[in-house]
Amino acid sequence: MKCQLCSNPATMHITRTINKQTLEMHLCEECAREQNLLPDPPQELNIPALLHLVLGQMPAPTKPATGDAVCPACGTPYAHFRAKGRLGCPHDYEVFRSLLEPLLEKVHDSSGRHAGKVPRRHRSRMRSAHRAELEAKLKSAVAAEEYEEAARLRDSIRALGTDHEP
Amino acid sequence: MNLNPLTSRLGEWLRGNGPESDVVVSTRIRLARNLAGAPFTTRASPHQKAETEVRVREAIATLELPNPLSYLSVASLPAIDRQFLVERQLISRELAGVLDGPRGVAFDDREAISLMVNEEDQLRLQSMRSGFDLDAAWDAIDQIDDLIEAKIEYAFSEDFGYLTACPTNVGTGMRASVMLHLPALGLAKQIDKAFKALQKINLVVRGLYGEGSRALGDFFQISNQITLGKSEVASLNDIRSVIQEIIKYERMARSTLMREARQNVHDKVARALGTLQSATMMTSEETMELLSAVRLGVHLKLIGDLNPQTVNELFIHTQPAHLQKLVGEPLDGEARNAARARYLRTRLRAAGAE
Repeated sequence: MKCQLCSNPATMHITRTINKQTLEMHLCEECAREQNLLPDPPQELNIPALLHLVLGQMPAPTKPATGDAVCPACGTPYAHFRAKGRLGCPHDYEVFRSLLEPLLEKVHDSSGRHAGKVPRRHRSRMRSAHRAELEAKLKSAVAAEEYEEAARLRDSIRALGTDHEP
Repeated sequence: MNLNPLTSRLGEWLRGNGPESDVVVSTRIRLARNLAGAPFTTRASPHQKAETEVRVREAIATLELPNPLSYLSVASLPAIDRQFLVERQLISRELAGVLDGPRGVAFDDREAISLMVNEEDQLRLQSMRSGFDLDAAWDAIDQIDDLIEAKIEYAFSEDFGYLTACPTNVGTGMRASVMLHLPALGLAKQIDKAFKALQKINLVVRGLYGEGSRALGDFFQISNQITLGKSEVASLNDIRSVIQEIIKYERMARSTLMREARQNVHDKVARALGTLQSATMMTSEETMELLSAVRLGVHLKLIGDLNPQTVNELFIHTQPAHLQKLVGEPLDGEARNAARARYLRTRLRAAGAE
């Protein structure tokens, strides 16, 4: 396994569970020291520095968010949204997700997901992700000698077409 | 850019034609969009806002459109020009005066498209049509949205759709508004009844100049409220069916009036025209109320020699910033009311009620 920050082999494997969510970091010793995770002399991990590093990189928030949550991307506290009614950045929708969902349900009279237009570049991204998923299934179907399933999956992959818009 | 030449033209939404234009003044659709990976406008530094403005401006400048857009920096415009753009509905009151820092608007000669930059959302795309024409307005803005999206990555999530500064807009980011003129329902005191059904199906009623503005002269804007969990087409269809009902009610009320109270309606219209032709002081509120009656008279063919475009022109030209541009000097209070009355007298002197 390679270090997440450089490409040297990772020698530090850190797993930490915060709010029922498991965070993993894989670093080489040099990077871990640089991030101030390993104080000199090494005794104990620097937990606040580790949290800062992990949370700063994570696309998903700690879940569920509480009323004193702050978006790591734009620094907007949830309280700011409560006071002003405006969010700080697109990332807030994930960070404050559990707090926003009941509100969205009330405002939009449903708990539905987005049902409208999808930007073209997201359409092809969503399709690539779907294709990768099917290809992985196909591989394991072939490995397990489930040929009927494999044929079905191959057809689905073909039906997806190319990644480019027609 | 000198805005004065705009004064003598009517923007698309005031052209007075289009489907059902006896009842529907205009149709407007706006889309709220933000850039991926950037803070929303209200949390952005002046530097970040300047960056957004440059990125969006560059994208807009290279769009291949049949009617090219020109960009105006709103931050560097004098207050009267900003007010002028608000009156023409090319920018919002927020973009004109509440927000600060780098911001602007791009619009075409017909004033059928306007793109606001660094509004509450970094991009507010707007399309306008005369009369009741949701499909044309949607097609136009959908196409421009695609062209911009090819150049700029929008903030978007599979679950929440287009991500907006205010969660009330998230999802499609689409607000379709139809401006109605309902004088007969107003006279018959049936407006409330007609609108009662709207809340149940999540549509909102507002006055002429948007949120918080009073419904003057029986002009109302009806728009969708829900943007999440429903597609653009489904929302447009909901509005369409409601507006069709309201148009039917208004026309029924008009024919009832003409059948049962023709003399009274005619008198009301003639008095409104007479006041506009002879008063020496006129507030914009009173102008709106009187022109509303005149507009009804034109559509009921009670006034022969006025056309709907002229009435629309008087609506827009008697707004404060337009009036001051026409007169060519800053005016306030009584001087403005006197200038407004003088302008209306001159324009309407020729028109007479039968």
